[in-house]
Amino acid sequence: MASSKTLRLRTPIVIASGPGGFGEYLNVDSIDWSYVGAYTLKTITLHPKVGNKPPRIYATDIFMINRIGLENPGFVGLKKILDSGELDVLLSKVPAILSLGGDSFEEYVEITRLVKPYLDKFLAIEYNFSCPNVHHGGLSIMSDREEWRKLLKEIRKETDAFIIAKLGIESGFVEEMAKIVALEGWNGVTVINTIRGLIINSEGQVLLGGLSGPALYPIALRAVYEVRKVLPDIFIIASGGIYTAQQAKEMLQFGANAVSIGSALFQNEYVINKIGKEIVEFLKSEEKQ
Amino acid sequence: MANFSAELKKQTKYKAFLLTKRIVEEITQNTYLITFEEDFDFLPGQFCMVSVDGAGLTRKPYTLGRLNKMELAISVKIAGKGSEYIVKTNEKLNVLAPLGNPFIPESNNGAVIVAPSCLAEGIHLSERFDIPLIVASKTELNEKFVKKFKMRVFVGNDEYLNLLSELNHSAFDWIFVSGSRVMEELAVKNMPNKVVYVSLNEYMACGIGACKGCAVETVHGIKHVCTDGPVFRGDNIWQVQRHSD
Repeated sequence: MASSKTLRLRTPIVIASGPGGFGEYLNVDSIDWSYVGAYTLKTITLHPKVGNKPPRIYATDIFMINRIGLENPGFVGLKKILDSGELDVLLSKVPAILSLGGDSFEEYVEITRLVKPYLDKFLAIEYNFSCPNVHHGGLSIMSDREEWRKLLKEIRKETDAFIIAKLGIESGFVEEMAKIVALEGWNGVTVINTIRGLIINSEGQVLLGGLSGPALYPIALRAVYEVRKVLPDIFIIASGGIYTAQQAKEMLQFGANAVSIGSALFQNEYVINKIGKEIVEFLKSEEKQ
Repeated sequence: MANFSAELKKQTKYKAFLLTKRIVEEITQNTYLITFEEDFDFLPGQFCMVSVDGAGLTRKPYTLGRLNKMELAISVKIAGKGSEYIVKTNEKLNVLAPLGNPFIPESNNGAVIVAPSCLAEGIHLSERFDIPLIVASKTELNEKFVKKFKMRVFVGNDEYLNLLSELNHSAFDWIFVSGSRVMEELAVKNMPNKVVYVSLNEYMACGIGACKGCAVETVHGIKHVCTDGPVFRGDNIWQVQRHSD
């Protein structure tokens, strides 16, 4: 059953799941939150995850590789901060999107059931089907196409929330994956996630992780283009290598409904204000025409 | 995971400062001391993340220091394009600070050992707690620094190991070490009689606890340098064989 809900963002700028953590950037006083449409929280899984052993991150001029491994406090940790009101500071400043993940079919369904009492706090749920840094779940949950389709169907049955599938490009053509998402009555897709990469750091250590940063941009733009071509109505959050307002505009012009800022926060979090200001002005000028 | 909700409770505000360089001086080969015109409040042990503009994808972490109890400073070793930008640019530096937990020693009976790349922090701790400053370097230091700041300098591995042996049998309660991971590990393992504190330098992306990139393994499991540190007790990071006398 398709949800009739729509997603209205005050601006089309979204903080990506992962780099933004659990709202830590609220503590940086230079960011103007009125430019942000939604803050996607770090992915929560049913059980807590300690994440991967260090080293976890390394960057070059044009890309970075991370292998965090979905470190998160699990549903219990999420429940604690929601029940105690600790997340209310964030929610009072910027709407949030919940990001969920799992290690198995059953875990995705179970956490969907568990978060139900809290959904009025969130604009939408983004399901992470594409984290390359966990052995089960994440990207690997999509390797059995039929099983994944069943999972999409099951989640849709469980919730009438606005649900978004975060897709990578390593489990088949992204537009084909997006078509399955739409067929199962989901509301949106976030394209793309990091891509599996390998880098040797300055200490000579090998990092197998997910590649992000500017190098991802043309791949993400093409993904948005391809998905929009086959799915005129689905909500698309463009994600991957967006560092400038020009890139954000291009994403919107090629069919994205919103653009996600992730790794660019690490270069300078002020990027939110820079992109936000220009995009808000751009949209105003579009309206006038 | 214990720090998860504690992190949210803290509500610490981080500010991005635009800092004008006052002086950039070479401490030793490839390593510089940078002082600033502007100032802000911070506590010993805390660090900052310096934006490298287009010269890299992440801000770079540096421990904060103060010279003569008044002049804000960092020390920077050129290790790539980002740190080279920080040393050479004539633009103001965009600095996110202050980050991490302060170092609060249990007594003033300690000593601080730093690599030249952490000299600003070393001078600060030495002046703040009125404790001896020791610099352990692979190469000779610019004579000017040695004269200007009261410090003992040890050059090369052999001298460093001799120093550690001497300090292990000294009357100090604790030794603070800030430098490379190898230097810190040697200090912890060669001073088993002492409480050794180390300021860890793991690759960082955010510096504020969001990305979980700066994980380190400790005897208490995974911790994060930016929010649990940057200063840790050495025996929480490396196993120490203590001798009972």
